[in-house]
Amino acid sequence: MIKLISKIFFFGLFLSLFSCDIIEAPFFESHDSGGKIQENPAKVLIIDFTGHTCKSCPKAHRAIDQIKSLYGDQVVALAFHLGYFARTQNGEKFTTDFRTDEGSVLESYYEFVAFPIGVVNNLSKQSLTPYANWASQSAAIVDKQAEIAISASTEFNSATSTATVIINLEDISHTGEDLKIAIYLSEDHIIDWQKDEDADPLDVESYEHNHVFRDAIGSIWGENISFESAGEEGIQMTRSLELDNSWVSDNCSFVIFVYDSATMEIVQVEQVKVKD
Amino acid sequence: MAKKIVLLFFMVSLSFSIYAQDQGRLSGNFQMDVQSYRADSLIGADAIPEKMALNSYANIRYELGDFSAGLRFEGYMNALQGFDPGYDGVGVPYFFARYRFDDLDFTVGDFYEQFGSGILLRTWEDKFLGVDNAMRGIRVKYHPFEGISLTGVVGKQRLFWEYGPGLIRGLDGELRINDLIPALKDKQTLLSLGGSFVSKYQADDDPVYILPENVGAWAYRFNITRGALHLDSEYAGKINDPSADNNFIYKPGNSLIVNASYAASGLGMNFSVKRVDNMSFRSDRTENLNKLMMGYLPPISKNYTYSLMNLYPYSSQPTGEMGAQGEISYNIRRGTKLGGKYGTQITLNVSMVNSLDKTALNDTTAIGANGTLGYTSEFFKLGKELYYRDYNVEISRKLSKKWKFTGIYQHIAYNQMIMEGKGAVINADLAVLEVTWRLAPKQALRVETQGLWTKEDKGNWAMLLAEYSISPHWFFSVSDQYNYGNPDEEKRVHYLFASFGYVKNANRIQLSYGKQREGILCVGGVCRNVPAMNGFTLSITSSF
Amino acid sequence: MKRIILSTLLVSFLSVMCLAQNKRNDMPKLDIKTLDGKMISARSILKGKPTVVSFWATWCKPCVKELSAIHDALPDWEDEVDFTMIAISVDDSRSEHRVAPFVKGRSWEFDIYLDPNSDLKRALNVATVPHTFVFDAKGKLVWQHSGYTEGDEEELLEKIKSLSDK
Repeated sequence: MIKLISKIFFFGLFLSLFSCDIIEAPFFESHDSGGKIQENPAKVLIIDFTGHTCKSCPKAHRAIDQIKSLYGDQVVALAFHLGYFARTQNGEKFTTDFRTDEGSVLESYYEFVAFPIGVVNNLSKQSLTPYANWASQSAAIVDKQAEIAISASTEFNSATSTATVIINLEDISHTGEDLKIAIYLSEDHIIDWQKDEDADPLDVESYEHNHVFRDAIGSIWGENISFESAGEEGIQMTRSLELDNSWVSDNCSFVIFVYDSATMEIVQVEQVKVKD
Repeated sequence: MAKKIVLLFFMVSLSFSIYAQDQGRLSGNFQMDVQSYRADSLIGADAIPEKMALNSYANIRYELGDFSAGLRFEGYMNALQGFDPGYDGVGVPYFFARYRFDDLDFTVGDFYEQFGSGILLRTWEDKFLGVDNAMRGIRVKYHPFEGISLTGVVGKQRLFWEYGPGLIRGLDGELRINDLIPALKDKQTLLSLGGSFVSKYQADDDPVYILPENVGAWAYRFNITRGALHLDSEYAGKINDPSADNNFIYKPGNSLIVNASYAASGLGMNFSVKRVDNMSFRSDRTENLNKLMMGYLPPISKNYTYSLMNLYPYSSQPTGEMGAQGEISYNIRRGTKLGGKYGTQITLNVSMVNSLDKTALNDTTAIGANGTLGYTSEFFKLGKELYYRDYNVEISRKLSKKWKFTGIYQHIAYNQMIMEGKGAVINADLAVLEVTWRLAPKQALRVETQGLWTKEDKGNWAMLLAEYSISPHWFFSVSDQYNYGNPDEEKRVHYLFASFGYVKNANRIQLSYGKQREGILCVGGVCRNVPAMNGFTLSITSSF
Repeated sequence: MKRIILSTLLVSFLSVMCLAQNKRNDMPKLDIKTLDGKMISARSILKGKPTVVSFWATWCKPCVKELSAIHDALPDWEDEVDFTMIAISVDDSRSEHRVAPFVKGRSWEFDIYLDPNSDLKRALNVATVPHTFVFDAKGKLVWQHSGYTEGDEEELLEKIKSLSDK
């Protein structure tokens, strides 16, 4: 009996050898652009942990570009420059410090082992995942309906370089409690040095850094909100932030997201330019 | 209290069950490493909020006749610095039951298996490296006739406390020709042939690429021995396997390893060549570092244990490399003028590894561009980029009953950008002199002097180590590594380190204190980064 | 009180374990590889004589020291006691092919086997190499030692001597 079982086992394994999926070009999926949901679609926040001397990190940057090209503004990205690879160097290259105090907080929270790494729509440590997973994790979210609607508008005072964001949150179908809102400022199109193993030479002088995290309003973990104490029309809030004069206000945006502080799951995210 | 009752119950029932079956054997071991951390900004050591970290393991194995079973407790409270924090926690991640009779051998649960040289499949563990990619599933080994053995496996691989998404199915067969064909039974030339097939399944949820869900791979090998001569080789290939490792290219992969050796009394020689082309093989295409590796590509360089010789260790480059290694070891016989009273051992070793020669597919596609066939590569053409060189001579000689010495000179070239993602090619010269002085039959003093000279990276290093041992129980050692040539004068630091230990039979306890430099710890080409540390280390191992 | 119960039980547990050790062969029922590449049963290397089994690797300095010391002492030891010396290399496929030239280059005369994926090493609960076992003529595991410092071979000799005295 046991010999028969083992023979069947080997025979089954032998059959599995014929299951080889050889793929012919083109290797990319063909897509209709954008998600399927028209009104209040769920949006995805991809947080990329990166550094300018990390030679593999541009692969993650390009993965984000690829995902954004599929899902447009349904995908919001943030790049935190932190850790060993974000250190500055003496001399001409890599002198710009993209690190932030908030980044240091995340560094001790996540205990990074290797870069690039990131999280998709969840802030928990267990959600850290290599960039190659970000596309499939995003795909699982974009066809859903948002549970909370975020709408935001901005005002910018050039004299004081103060940006103000006016936020309106509406509960559509969310059930969890312990909600928090976090409001960050990010900057795009920063031209500076970056190591890129796929470029020749390795040190790229005019690399375009996008989604760079600059500052948070209040704590990196945001502030508590509750729909119960709010009225029918949801939660309204107005927050302001003074921009550093080295930042280009035209390229700055607010990234606003609501998450469940118990599960660390991000419920919804919105991005709005400082100069709307 | 409740725990104690459980423990009592466990022990009593275990005693009875063993008493009832007095053919059985229970054995096991226990290992624990505790480290305290103090911040030291000069060497880059960090304090950690929990002040200390602890890794511990306990294996228990029971064997009764044809049956064996075992489990391993692991506790990382929290994991030592340099280990992936994904290990933090306590549990029993490994257990198995195995039944072996006649020509069959069944295992269910977790197991470690290797097909051939392991290019396609090797599940293994190394607790010092934090590597454990055990398979959980079923394994059957079958020997229908003398000279034929078959192994089949199905399962998933361990990833910290969980299992990876990829399903692995593998089949391996080996034929020993001399046992199969009676006419060849007593021939001097021994020949064996082997082949393996491994296929992995991972769902394609990716919206960007069309990914192969089933990736098949195969390998053939042979092994010929005739007296002192030995030749073996394994060639492996796989179909398109786009992954984070190869930047999602759809090129098939392959790898060739050839080893030849000659072993006669007093003289040993071996020569190896290796070619690897796009052969990273994991049960999760998105993973990196040491996680969920299915294949093992043995690095073609010698492994050293002297501290400074491990400052720049080579590790295999699964995306592509070509290399060769040669070694001669010769024993100048005892009693001759050169050999001295006890003989002298001389070993010469050369390892060289370069990149793979890669040609772009066409003028508009960069080499290795994602979502393409990647590149083309001529099989016998060596790439231009240097990865690693190691020229090395080692002499060891016993001068008298009391004195022994070993001397090594080594020159290495190490492509730090390829191995560590920073810096450039480092050229370094190294020398080691180790002298052992047996003060008394059971007492010895061992002194190691090591030097590393380079103009690159952190510059020159010197090291002195003295170890005093009283067999069979005690040893004491102090060492100093001094980075005297660091271009940054502030970082010319002494790394002082002291330890003492007590050994009784298979029980060992060691306590150390001092500074440890940051470095790379590699076993078999798999490496982990060891951060700089300053503090106490306590290690206990015990087997029963 | 509880401590007394606990320790009594512990003692009885251990003594039952020792009692249980009378009749069996302590070598796990697993295969190891010969230098010719053939898989053989690990039990078949115990041939009714006291046997020393030492786990080692070509890259492990103290292992090589231990085996060199045994190699040097072997002619004298064999005059005193009748035993078998066996060394099992845990070199993996990186250095497995170096084992035969390494051993021959040093003229070691004891039997060498390979355990390339550490199966037997794991089954005998070896945490680190070198690790040396002594089996008696019946296959019972009577002594084991982890690590090597100069002079440890003397203790090993005493153990095998005490076995043949019985």
